[in-house]
Amino acid sequence: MSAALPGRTHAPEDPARPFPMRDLWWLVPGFALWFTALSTVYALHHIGCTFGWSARTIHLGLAAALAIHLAAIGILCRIELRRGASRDFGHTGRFMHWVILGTLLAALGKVVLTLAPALFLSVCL
Amino acid sequence: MTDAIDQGATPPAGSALRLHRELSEIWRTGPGLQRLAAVNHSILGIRFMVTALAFFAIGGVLGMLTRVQLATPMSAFMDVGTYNQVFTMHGSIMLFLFAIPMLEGIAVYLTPKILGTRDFAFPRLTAYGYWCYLFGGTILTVSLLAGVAPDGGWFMYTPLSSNVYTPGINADVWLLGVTFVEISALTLAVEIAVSTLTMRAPGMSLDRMPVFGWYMLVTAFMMILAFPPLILGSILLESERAFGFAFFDPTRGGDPLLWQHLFWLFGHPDVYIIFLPMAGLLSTMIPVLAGVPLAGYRAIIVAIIGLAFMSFGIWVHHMFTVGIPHLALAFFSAGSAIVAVPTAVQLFAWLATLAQGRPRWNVPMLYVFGFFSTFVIGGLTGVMLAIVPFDWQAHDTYFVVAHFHYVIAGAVAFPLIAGLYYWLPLLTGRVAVYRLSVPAFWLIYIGFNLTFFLMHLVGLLGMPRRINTYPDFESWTFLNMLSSVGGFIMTIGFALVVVDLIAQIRYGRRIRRDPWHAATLEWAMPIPPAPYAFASLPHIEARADRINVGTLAPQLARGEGYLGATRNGWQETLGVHMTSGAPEQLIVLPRPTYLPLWTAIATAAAVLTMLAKLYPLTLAMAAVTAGLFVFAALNAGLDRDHGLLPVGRGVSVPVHTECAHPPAWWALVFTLIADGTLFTSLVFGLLFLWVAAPNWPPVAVPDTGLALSLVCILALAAAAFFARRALVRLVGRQAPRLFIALAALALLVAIGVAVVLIGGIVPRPSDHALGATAAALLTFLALHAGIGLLFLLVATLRLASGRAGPTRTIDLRLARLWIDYTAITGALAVGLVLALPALVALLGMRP
Repeated sequence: MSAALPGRTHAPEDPARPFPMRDLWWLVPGFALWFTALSTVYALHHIGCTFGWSARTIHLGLAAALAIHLAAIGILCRIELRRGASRDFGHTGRFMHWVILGTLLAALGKVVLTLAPALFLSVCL
Repeated sequence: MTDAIDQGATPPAGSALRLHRELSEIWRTGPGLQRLAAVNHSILGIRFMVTALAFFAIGGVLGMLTRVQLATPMSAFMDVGTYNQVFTMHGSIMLFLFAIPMLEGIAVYLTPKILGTRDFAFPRLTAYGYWCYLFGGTILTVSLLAGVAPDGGWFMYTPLSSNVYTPGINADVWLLGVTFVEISALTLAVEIAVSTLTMRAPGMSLDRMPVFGWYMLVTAFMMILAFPPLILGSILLESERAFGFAFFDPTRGGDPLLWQHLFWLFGHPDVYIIFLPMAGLLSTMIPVLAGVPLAGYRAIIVAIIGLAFMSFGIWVHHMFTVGIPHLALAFFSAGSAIVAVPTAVQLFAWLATLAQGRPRWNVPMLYVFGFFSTFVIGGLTGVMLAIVPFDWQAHDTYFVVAHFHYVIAGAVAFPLIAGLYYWLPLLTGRVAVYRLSVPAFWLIYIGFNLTFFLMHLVGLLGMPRRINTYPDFESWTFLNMLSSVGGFIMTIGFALVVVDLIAQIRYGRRIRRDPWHAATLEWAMPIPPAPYAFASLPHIEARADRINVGTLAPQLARGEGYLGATRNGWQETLGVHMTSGAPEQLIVLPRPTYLPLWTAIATAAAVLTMLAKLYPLTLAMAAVTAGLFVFAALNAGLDRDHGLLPVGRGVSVPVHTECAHPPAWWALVFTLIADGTLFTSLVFGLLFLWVAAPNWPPVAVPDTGLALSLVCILALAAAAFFARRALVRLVGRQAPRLFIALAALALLVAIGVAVVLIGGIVPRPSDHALGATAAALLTFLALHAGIGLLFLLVATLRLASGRAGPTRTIDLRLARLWIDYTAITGALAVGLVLALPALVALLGMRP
């Protein structure tokens, strides 16, 4: 039976420490950063056009916003890669590491694909 | 009760029948009128589903009426006013009263069973949510009979829904009725999230959780984040209609587009909120029907998390034609198209599962097939509409109507009927003997495609949405007539399904165990389920969607799992560590009570008096509602310490009231996330109006009392400090009452100052949107400080009654968390109000 009943300890088949609850928040930042990148680029463009910034200034602002978000997700990926290698939280830890890394990499790709091409378009039209 | 009784509850291996009798007596809901006091998840889940199906029937009839009207040109079947009410209510009922509540019903009924627990964390809240849904839906439906139903479209766009163009109560019915129903959705979202994270079967770590649990968890968080913007929008629009606040009126610095932003910040994720639970059903059924495990478990989880986030970032694709700058159109278009990727990950995982296994061509599988073909068509037309030039051509035509019916019906109707046939043996203990469902499927499938595929064509031929009639164009007339015929064929199919389901419930062959050879926990219990669900809880040592039901079920029935004995007449279940699933606390659930019903009645009275514009009565009813919540809190939990109690398998855990993080703690955390979304939406609204709305800056120069504002911030900070001190003293076994009183006093000062500030806002809230948003920010502060007072009141009364104490500190911990949050958001709100003059001055720098 795969769902065996006995078990005097909390997880007898997995002696590793439990994956910390607070680390569940790591499922959030990848796509949350994509969302903030989207919102920032949208708002920056709107504000720039409202206040008559030059096209060059707006493009630079958008590029800076994009670069900051890409760098942030990249740093998170690096941290997660290192953490995954250095910590042992058993099967749950390995699973969560895979899922967290998956969300971060997917978010990185999403930022590039959705926002980078917009940098080459005309502004304030 | 004595400690001896507590300790004597070490679960022996007893007879299954005796255990069943004892548990049934403890968990039972009384007969007759006592059914109104039900808080059991199985009963409430079925009520949600049956009520949702009733509203589906009403919405379906309204849909058929629109098809009758549009079947022929220049039809006189309905006048334009009636038609507007009918199509508005069709959309509103299908979305708010059928699709969302149906997913809630499925979640309430199935989630605890699939996760191996006995009930949800807050049964009284589930019941309150159900009654709110029923009363809110009834208000909306009765308005239709009274001829005052909403008539501005299911999205209630301003300025059409403003006082000027909708002077009656039609729009108020929508705004208040839908917000009422959303209370139900939000309470259940919090409940689902808390329960899924903290109340699984012991040993069910996150990597062992059935994929259905992941779907429900992600959906719950989506609801927590998606509903607040619409709730905020509804409150702002209602305050404009009722009190003249200028949020959406462009002549007074408002902007109708703010409504569209707030609506679609909810509206687009809502599509996925509806889709994901149905995808969860498919991901549970398909492996069983194919006879192999689900392919791509981890990839699916990444995909649904990605899909959830992406759905929040593409709301603008509903607004491509409103004048958004081209650059923004480009990245919202790209974002909308890329949503197809995580959706495709799931579709390919299901196809791979079917390809690996040997699919059984039974009734559920037939409807799964219907899902695949319709949903893919809807998805592909969605990608077409994500491309801006095409959207500009097709916007507001019947092409869009066709697209979203393919998506919504493909995503909801077919998986839902598949799920009904799959889980009906669990609900009823019977399997079908007749085959009406097969002709019913073909009638629905053919009728559906005839109705909605042709709408693509008539849309591409230029027929706009929401028109009540049209001239006799040959191309439109023929297609519309065929569409209507298809609609009636589809309706006959749905009627046949209902007949078949009734026949199965009444005359189906009786079964005792899993008829599908499934491998999930909901089948490892008596069929139909007893009110306690599991006689004892399993210990999970592998993926919980690969269990051997035949072996496990009798063991659990004999009480060989956790909590395999009764104790003190308590309704017990286990709380577990969020990630590992290790048992952490013994959760004692409340018994049946009429309190949720009375609270919902009081809430309904508040809504109705507001509709009647009897505002003093509204305040009184709101106070009664708050009082009933306080009363409910007073009797929650246990009145003394119990220490560690044995729960079986050699494990002992404390009762939840003696734990640092019981479910109530997490419920408040998630509630604050929802509340934070509402606050963020309000701030977004202010900044949006500042940048984008016409008639800014206002003629009157904004004036804010600096000294009073600082007093308000200091009072909030003091309240947070005193609440913390009170908790420290309680934990240190010292009397906390002085600090509780000081915290309450500080909150009263903050409320008083906020009221004075609101009274002195320049420009007045009815004169300009700037004043209106400032008033909204300060009202937010005052309201939250008021709720903080209620938290302190509950803590004081529970300390006095002995239900709170040095080891049972949750009341003060909740109060502290709420007041901390109020202090932070309140300071931000006041800071923004203080910054308004500077923001207005900045506008002078515009070219």
